[in-house]
Amino acid sequence: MSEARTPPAAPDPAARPVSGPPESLIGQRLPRPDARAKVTGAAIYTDDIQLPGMLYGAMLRSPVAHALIKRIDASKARALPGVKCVITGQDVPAIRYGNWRLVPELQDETVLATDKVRFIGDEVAAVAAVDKDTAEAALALIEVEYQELPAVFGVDEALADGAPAVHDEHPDNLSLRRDIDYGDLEQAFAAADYVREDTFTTHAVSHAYMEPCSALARADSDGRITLWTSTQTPYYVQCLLARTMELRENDVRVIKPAVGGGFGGKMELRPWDFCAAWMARETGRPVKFTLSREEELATGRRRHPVKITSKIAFRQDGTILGKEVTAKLDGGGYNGMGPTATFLIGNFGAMLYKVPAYRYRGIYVYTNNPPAGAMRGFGAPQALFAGEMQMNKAAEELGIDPIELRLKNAMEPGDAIPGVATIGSCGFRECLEKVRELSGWDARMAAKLPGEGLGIACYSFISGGVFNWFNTRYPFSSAEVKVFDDGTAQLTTLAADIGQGSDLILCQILAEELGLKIEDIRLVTGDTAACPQSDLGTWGSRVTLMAGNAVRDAARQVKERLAEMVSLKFDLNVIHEIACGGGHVYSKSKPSRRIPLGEAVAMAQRANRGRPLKASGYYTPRDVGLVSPAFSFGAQVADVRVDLETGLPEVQRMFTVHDCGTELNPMAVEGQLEGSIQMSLGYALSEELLMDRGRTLNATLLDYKLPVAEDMPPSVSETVETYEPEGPFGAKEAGEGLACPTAPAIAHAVHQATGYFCRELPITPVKILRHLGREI
Amino acid sequence: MRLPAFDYHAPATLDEVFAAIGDRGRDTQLLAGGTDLLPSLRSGKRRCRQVVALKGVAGLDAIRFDPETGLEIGACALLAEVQDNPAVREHYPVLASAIRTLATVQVRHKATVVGNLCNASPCADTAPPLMALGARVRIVGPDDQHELPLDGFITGPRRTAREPEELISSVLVPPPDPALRTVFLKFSPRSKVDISAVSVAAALRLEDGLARAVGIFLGTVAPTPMRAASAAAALEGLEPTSEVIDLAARTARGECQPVTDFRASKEYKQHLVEVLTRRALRALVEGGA
Ligand SMILES: Cc1cc2nc3c(=O)[nH]c(=O)nc-3n(C[C@H](O)[C@H](O)[C@H](O)COP(=O)(O)OP(=O)(O)OC[C@H]3O[C@@H](n4cnc5c(N)ncnc54)[C@H](O)[C@@H]3O)c2cc1C
Repeated sequence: MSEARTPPAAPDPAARPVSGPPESLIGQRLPRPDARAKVTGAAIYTDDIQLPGMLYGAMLRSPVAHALIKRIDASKARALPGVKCVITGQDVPAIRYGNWRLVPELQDETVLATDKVRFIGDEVAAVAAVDKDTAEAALALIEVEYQELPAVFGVDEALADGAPAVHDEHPDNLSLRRDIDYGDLEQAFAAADYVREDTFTTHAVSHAYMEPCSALARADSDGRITLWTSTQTPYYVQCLLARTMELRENDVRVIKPAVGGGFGGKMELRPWDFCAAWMARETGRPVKFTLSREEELATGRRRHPVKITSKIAFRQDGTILGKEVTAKLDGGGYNGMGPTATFLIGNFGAMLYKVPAYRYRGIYVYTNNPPAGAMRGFGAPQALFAGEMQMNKAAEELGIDPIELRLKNAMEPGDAIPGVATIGSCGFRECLEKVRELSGWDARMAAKLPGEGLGIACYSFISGGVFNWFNTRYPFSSAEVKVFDDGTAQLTTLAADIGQGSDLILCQILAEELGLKIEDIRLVTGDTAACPQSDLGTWGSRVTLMAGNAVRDAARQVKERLAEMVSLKFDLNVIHEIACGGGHVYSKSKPSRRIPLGEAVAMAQRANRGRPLKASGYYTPRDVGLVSPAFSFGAQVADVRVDLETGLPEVQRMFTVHDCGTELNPMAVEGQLEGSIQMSLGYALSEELLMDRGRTLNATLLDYKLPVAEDMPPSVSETVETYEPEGPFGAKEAGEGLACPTAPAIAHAVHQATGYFCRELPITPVKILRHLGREI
Repeated sequence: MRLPAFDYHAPATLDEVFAAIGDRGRDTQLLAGGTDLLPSLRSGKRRCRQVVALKGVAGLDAIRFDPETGLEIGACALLAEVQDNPAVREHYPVLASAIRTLATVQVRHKATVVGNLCNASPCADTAPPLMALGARVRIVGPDDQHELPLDGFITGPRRTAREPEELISSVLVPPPDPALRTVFLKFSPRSKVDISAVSVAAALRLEDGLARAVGIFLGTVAPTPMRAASAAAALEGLEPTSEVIDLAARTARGECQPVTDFRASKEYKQHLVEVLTRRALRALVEGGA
């Protein structure tokens, strides 16, 4: 340890809310330690893992959208040389499962279809064979006799009288309702000067994560399972796999290797997880499944298509008096994460602005389409597309600038959605004002040119969910911190990095607390057998806030022990505050009274018969409403040019100003912003799962078009610094909210440029040209 | 959708190629970069019993330029190599610019120009510009060889005028004509990296203010890349005023026979043909004026 590295003078870096002295890690642009391995191909994903004697699995999927299974005969497939195991719904327990453990009626899936298939792609049987070719050949030999049933493919069709029931338990195809009510809505509409009602429809898109789902299972001789799987939520998979296999939860060990993106699409137990495990136990050999891109696109989870009707009441001066929103979600054949999305659409229908009276009616409708699921924004992209488009139209008709209209109604710290959520930190107004400046809004609005336009949209998003639908009895996030006499520390947590970079953020938080460098932190993660119970995984932009708080909780306990060593060694007065920094533990008022962290660990352990110095930390939100402990805010402006001859909208530039609390690592936040723009550009303009009677027509990346690097517009961003008291070092979410404003901002800009007002995503050149009067 | 089983040959000479093909031409697929072949075998759009790889055949990857005889692009010359070739950049910029729009850097370093043509897709991006340049293909069989104009070589989707036991050894482009103005425009409404919804290549000379040697070629709007002969005739020998150009563009629209696909509907493609043809012709006329 070089003497040049003197400990920092007061104040203590960790105690500073926003940005500390130079050696504070908070706010540093830290590159991702996993980046090199990923770009050079060295990172190990599930499909990279080979075990001795491993078998290859393949799924047999339903070719029809709705049918009774009359007979399955797998004898020919079983007789094929090289086939080691074939299972159908008859061979495994018909146990219903799903993430909504709190409300068992919502658990509507079995791992393999038993008597009925409900969408094209529904899993019917699985094969394990010595190689992939044999497994696929065997699928073709499984005889299934289907008795086709009438099917429904649209929400209104499914709700019509006499429509065929997708689930017998729900003859009306209505899986569930979510309502939100507060304020006097009738009074609000009666008092209004201006009321408008709009209906918007949004479409299904794919997560299109780079790594298709993959699962590899091994059973030990006692029948206990180890499952490597590409998941966002190892804990859910552990619990639900145990349930479906009739094991105790601790008989299942789930390991999450490197994951190539999830975006909400990998947060459930999926049939291949189960089939790999079951067949591994049956055969005594490891079994691996990896989905093809075609399977992912044709049968995978997707963003819910939603039909949203929004009615809003204003006073002449632009004050919002009330709002009424109804949403119908096309859920496809099963619930998946639909119940949560149905609620969140209602929640985000009333976020951003002060809405004194609100009524929400959301319904989740079964159809024979492939089931939808959680996808980045979890209802917010749909709700905010509708809400923000409507705000822009209202501004136009009220003759108020769209940014002014928003400022007039913007939520502020302390505002509440009664019974649902209270807003803590909130820099929304500042976001609006800054983005106006950044984008040159006023000048551009004053001098409009044909074919060119600016558009604005805003967002708010949760920093983790509060409602315990999984019904866990463990903390929402847990962390274990151990310090060593060589000056390193180990963090053990089940928080799941799926590519968003949360591993780095959590190490950064720990390093900051202990005054260490990132290189001093060792991370053990992604293994339910090694990590403390529990962490609910990656969804709802929860990891930084929730797991970050758990890490701080553990770190502080360790710090207390270390601080005692300094007090003892230097015989310090009881009023001395002890801090960590620069690799040392020291007295804040007399920084020369210091011990290198490793030495302090050694002292503490010597005094305790060598007992390791470690602590467990937890975080579970309490008394912070139903939705989330903290909300992010932001405003985005799109500058779009439309080629009036081809109809092509081209985004020239994106301007974003957002409030994610303290930016712990600006480079990571920028990565989220760029990824959000890329993903939402596709949502707005080029991506759509095209369906024909339940069949996905464009199930290749040739026909389903993701934006690529060359399509990315330049982007300018700024942050508004707020301090979120519930978040670690004042931080809140930056992962999903940013995915919401881009589509409505682009749509608004297209409206400004051409007059075309998009009520039905995606925005296409043909829709624009038709609006311009071309007969095409 | 796994790759089906087939025999694989990797010959080192043309004689070995023909020996491997033998009389099994109809059951054979030649392999250049494989960027079309492998996906189409996997999806079942193409079938074969054997695959004969050309990349090991000495000399097939040559790109030769001679001001007297023109450009010869060997069967295994990569798109990226052709795109970066100094003679191509200088004398046939329209070809380099078309290749620049084709797929991605990775694909262009694997795939070939000849593979793009032999794949015989209506959206092959090198076909319209090479047709506009008057290119020919050299067809080699076990016993003899001959040449055919590229315009006419592609006879239908995945069909060419090549006999099953023959191969294309190279594409031949006539010597550069400094007076010939050429342009290639490609459009997809979805992304800058995509298969064309419509592409247009056009060529003409301006002689005393009149358009001569007009060629207009369209991609993705017929079963094959097509020559828009009537559109070209509408301009040939005339002063290219905006009215004349508009008429030629409308004629091209009437001449094409597109079908709806994931990138664009039939009607939208017709509209795009008109817009792109007009833009292409304007660019040619304004470009050198
Ligand atoms: C991601 C992606 C994007 C793409 N984007 C585009 C695009 O934008 N525009 C476009 O035009 N294409 C595109 N393609 C298609 C493809 O890359 C091109 O057509 C490419 O030029 C094919 O060349 P290849 O060498 O790979 O041909 P191969 O796949 O090897 O061969 C194609 C066909 O030609 C036959 N063949 C090859 N060489 C000969 C020969 N010497 N004699 C006779 N027959 C022969 C083969 O038997 C086969 O039937 C794309 C492909 C991919 C995978």
